[in-house]
Amino acid sequence: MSNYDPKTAINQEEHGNPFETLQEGIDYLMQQAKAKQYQAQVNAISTISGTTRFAVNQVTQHTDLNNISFQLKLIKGKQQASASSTQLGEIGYKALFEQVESNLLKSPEIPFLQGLPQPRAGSNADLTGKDWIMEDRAEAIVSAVNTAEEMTDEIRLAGTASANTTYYRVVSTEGIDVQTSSNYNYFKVNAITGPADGRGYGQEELYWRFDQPDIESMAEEATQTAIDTVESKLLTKDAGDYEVVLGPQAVSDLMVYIMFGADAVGFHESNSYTSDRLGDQIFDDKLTIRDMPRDPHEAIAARTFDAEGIATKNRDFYENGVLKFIPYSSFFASKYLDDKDGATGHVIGPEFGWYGGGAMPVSSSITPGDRTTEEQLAEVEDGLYVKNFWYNRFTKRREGGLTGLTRNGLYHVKDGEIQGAVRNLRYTESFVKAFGQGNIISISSDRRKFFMSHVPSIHLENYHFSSVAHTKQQLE
Amino acid sequence: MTNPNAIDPDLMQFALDQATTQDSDIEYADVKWMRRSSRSIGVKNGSVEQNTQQNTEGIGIKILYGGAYGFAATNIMTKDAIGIAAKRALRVAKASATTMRNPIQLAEEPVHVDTVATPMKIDPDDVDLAETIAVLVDASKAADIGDDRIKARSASYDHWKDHMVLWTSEGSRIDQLISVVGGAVDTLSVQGTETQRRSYPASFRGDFSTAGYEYFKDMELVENAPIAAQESVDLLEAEQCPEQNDATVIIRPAQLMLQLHENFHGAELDRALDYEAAFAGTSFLKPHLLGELQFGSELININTDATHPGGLGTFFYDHEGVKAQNQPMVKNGKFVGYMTSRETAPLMGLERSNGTARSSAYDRMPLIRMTNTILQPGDYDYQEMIEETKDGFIFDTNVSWSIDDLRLSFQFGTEIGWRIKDGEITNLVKNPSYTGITPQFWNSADAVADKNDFRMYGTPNCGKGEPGQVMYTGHGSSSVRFRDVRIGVVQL
Repeated sequence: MSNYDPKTAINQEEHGNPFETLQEGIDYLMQQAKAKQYQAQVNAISTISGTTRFAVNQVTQHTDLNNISFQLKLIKGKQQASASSTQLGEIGYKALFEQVESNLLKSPEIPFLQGLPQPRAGSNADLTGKDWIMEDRAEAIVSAVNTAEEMTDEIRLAGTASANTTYYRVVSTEGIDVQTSSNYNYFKVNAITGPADGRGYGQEELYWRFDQPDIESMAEEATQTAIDTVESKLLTKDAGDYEVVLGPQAVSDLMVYIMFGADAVGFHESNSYTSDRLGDQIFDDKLTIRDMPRDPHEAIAARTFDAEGIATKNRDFYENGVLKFIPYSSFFASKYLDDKDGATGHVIGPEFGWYGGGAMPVSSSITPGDRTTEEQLAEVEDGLYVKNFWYNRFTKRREGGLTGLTRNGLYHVKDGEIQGAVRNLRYTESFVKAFGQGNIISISSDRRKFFMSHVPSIHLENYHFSSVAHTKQQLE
Repeated sequence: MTNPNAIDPDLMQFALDQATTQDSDIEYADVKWMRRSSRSIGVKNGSVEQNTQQNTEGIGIKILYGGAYGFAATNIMTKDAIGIAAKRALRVAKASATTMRNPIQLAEEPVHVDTVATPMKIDPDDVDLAETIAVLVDASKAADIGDDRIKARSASYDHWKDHMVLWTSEGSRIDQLISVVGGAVDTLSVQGTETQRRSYPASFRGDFSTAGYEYFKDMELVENAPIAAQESVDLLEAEQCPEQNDATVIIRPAQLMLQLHENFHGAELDRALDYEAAFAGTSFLKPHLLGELQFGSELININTDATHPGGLGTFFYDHEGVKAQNQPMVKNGKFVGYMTSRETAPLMGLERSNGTARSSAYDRMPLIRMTNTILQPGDYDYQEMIEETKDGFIFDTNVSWSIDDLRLSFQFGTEIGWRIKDGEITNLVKNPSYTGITPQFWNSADAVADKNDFRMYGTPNCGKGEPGQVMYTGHGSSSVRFRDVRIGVVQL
């Protein structure tokens, strides 16, 4: 058992001490529940974040948040109700308990409900990193803008620098009493240049925990992409199927849907790309996706216990393209597996900013490959290099079908050389097909971290683009 | 006078004093207390699977110093914690000020002292939970039409109240209570690997209005559930929407609402000025196009209207204390107006904000958000519109959407479609989809149905901002006929 104390993630000198308040709330709610012989689960949460947004080369919004909240779930036999509240003090806790109790007693029985999960052995791990304070974030923004302005006068930078810390403790009448904490930081820089009716865009973003990234290099890369992609320089490629290298930002965009689309409800309702396919080869055998919530070096959305207090595990989500598990909460494990303890420890916690209770693997890490992104590009015969996607949405969940657009850098590559930037394209493609057997040529060794994934570049035989996003003529 | 259970005015005064007196160079400050109380109920296949409530309450303090904003919030409602938040807000503003090239200057707004609330016939907080659950269970059961291809029969109810008290250093004292109610049924049918979903009255958890519980009662979910169920099954056997580059399509309000929503994000002035470039996106509606661009055909008139009774985006004051307004954005097809805030209006030479800045909670800064985006009804009878269409389609109820960051290049999918041949509806069409370029699309509109076909819909989950905010927005339209549309983009 690790000696790490998750409470140390909160910089109390900077942000105050939430732990007395959290303990008060837990004590009150559990006492009330036990007195009435309900099953109860209390989540006591402290979230601290500082977000500095900038646009047109200056800070536009700068917020500093420090919140304490509670979630209470009560179960009586086959009845269940829950609520969350940020109202503190005995008045607030009393109101929360009475509200949930009232809903509980009026709720019909849920036939498959089996109650709260049992505790499982699990240890804490140190998931903390640097606390990026507001003055340092402002300084980073100034250095990014200065870097960009050295490259070109007519540059408009926008982006975000943020620091986020989440601590939560889960206590239940079934013997669960666990706590977890993590912090992470984020930097994104978006560059725009060129005339009003033909601007170029570039963007670089990443999440980090330990070492501040090279902000100036990120600004330089984003600015260069913007310079490359002004309207007057763009080549036009027709819609169609192309060999592509998807950069890490583009891969992370698709990973969001690979994860969101793998939920238990969709699986059992035949409305997921995973339906009837557990244990099947869904993706190319070059693709191994690990779920790594306990490794702060592999995952940003890291936690040692999920929002039900179940210990998380590092495990394969896809091993050589084969689907290894479906994520369950205890509620849906009761419904679909007839066993509440089939819960897998994937219920989303407050670090996501909502209390939906959904279960999904959000700490994904694609195993690196054997060549760099530059080497991959050198191997492209005639295709496209996609830096990132924009506004991706499911068209058909059952097929893994998505649509979206390229943005912030699309390049034509021929015989291993970048020929120039290309007008943005819309894709309509299934990620099952895109990452399917035989379609992955290579996976890069270099990777980048995003909130829910740690991903490389991926070189694909084929990716379908359904239309040109727009041309200047279409506006006239 | 205040709405019930408002924050103690002494605490508001304390917070405002703490915000304004800590430095003599503070240019402006406001204190926003918000309480959000919400309930969500979800029933699937006759069982209650979601029965939750959420209560958030706290104070956000915003300070303008050195031409820069700083914002800090807390839900610890003690004077100590509020004092700390005020100090942090100033510290944040000072840090921001080190980066400012163009200091913020706020548009003038008269001082308002007012207490307002959404008119309700039935307060949702007075309704017994068991009554609502019974309606949802009955609706879920009514969707069981005896076809085992129907895998999921869902019914949902949501309501929330946003109670805001806003005090500004200029003297405004606003107490505003907004109530929202909504609900839906939807059915998922499966045959092999094919899935079809059909929702009523709208998709993605249904339709919402600023109203009391009467809005949910009037939905008649139980009566409409079997119709939705039958359509979801019928769609499994329907003709696949064909690929065609020049189709005539009549788009119904339950899809057009999202078309309006996605396109008119481009009329949020902060986007047009690149303030949202790194997250929500920019806009093709650049300032030099105001008054110049023919956005749509001359039949197209679209307003941003925060005063429309019952609209999901209806309120009395925005979260900067600006009174709600109704203003044109497109007039006879021409682009004539943006949605603005006190910070952005002066950047366009406007004397006043048109009051569209809202925040989702106490711990968020207000951003420009859509209010009610309303396409004014035309003069076509809807049936006549169909009868005079020789060869076309009707598309209804959104199922998927995607649009580029300029709000130009879009692609939508709908739950259901019908084919029109020689003025008659001939058959169902499944997996309808269409794509286009915004001004080309709207300029192809050649018929707008009249007020008899007009319908308001609300989307409760529009995302913007970092940290993220989810806002509720309203949209109104009648059916519109568009020509030369590329359809059938998604073929499965």
